[in-house]
Amino acid sequence: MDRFAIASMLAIGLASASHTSLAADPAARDDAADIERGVDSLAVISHVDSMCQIWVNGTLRATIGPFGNSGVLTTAPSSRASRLELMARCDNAIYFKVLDESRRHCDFTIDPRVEGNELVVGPCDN
Amino acid sequence: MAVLSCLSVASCGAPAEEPLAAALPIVGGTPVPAEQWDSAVAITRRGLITCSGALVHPRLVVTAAHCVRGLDDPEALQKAFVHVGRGAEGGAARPTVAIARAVMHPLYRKASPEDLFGRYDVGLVILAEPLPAISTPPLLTDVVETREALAKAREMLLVGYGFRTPAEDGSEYGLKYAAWTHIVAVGRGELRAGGARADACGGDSGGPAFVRLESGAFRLVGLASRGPVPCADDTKPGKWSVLRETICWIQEESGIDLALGDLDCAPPPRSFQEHPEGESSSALCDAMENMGPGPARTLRALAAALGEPIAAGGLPDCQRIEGRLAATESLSLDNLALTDLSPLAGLAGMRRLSLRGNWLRSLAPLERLPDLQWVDVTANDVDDPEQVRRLEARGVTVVGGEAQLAPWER
Repeated sequence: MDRFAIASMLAIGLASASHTSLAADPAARDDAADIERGVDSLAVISHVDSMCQIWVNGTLRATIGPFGNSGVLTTAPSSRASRLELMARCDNAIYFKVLDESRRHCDFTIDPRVEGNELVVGPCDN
Repeated sequence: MAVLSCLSVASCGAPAEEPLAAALPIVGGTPVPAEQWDSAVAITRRGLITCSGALVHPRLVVTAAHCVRGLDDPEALQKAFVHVGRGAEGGAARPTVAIARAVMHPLYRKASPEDLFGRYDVGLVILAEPLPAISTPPLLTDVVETREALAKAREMLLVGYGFRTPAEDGSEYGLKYAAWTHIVAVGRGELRAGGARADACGGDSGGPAFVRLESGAFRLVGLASRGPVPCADDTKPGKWSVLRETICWIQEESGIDLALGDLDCAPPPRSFQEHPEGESSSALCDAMENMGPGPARTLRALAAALGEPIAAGGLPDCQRIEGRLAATESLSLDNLALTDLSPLAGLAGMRRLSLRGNWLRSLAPLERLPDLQWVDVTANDVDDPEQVRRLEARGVTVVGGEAQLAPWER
């Protein structure tokens, strides 16, 4: 959990820095903070032999069984910077991934063989 | 649709006989009943509602550009459908019809700072099979209706399948809802509306926004595009693409006749620089037989200003008008919904011209008025500040030229 939080804060910091050059005009700032109101989707495929909770942008969205599949989920709730913070909380480990780029759909795989407990991304639709 | 807010039908501004009024609602919202607003549809991808849209022809749905992003890939297109109906809680709605082709507006740019007049977040979906049994609402194209409908504080009806809470709770998503809100500001390409009481939210993109005219008729005016996170924020209204701005492209790209009536989809008139050296004849009577609705409206306005009659064919005697104008140094054509000044090009003797409150995008024909000294173009839609600068460089005093640079009514 700590690693997920640290990674999130780091990514938020980087995202903030990249926006410091935005125009000083308040309306322009508001517009830049807007997000489009279409909904993207994701699916989580588990390769672990335990129950896993799927958290999307800080909200519990699904619970999947051993070697289960979440089915297609929306990426809601939206985050301000169109980021996707995905966490799978399984019995013995927490897996995570942060995507800063908006994709129409991505599959994520929980694979215990991956170092660092990152969720494996792909394939994605742009 | 984030929050439906009217506490009573009366407070929603809808008359009792209006069918939708029964669906409008209390805080928390009520779904749109079956058979109402059938032209509001959903776009599904991989079986999940991802956007809303508006059926404007049995074969054509308009939606947001970002809703059809990636559908140029045949594999993605095979997984995308249009759903007609009430939707499904959670968003897993059954498909109604496949999509044959989907196109984003060529000027759409994602995540760039807002352009002066909006971002062209409009896309079209050509259906694999027509949906003839559904009545489609008229588009807002008439210039007079547009002036009435697209005004600050005007009530606007939103329809969409999106989240119904600002927190975007996944269990409150995917059913067709409607809400009344108010227009906050209007630009040519986008309008701003919505707030804490009612707003679009995730999944509502591409959903239709309607305005009811004084006559009681509804017109489709815009499509939900973007907004703050979380949605439904009084300090940050949402944004809708103004359909009128892109409807000519939709008609041309789809190849479907949308019966646009008064809207002039002809290419803009040639600029001064494109005319041969020394050309100075008036354009007033040029191409009378093929005159589009924009120039024809200007000609009728000139006739009215000069007290000349309109013939049975809807146009005045251009030779008489030309003769009268040759002896006219000053003319006022304010608030007449003019869109095209090309009939004025080349007129000698005109020194002062007031054009306040029209719908002019181009001032190029004024560059061909050799004697023009003063012009007022306040409250128009001129999109190229260089046109104002060119007039001023010729010694013409331009009033209201800078106002064109403000994208929104404040």
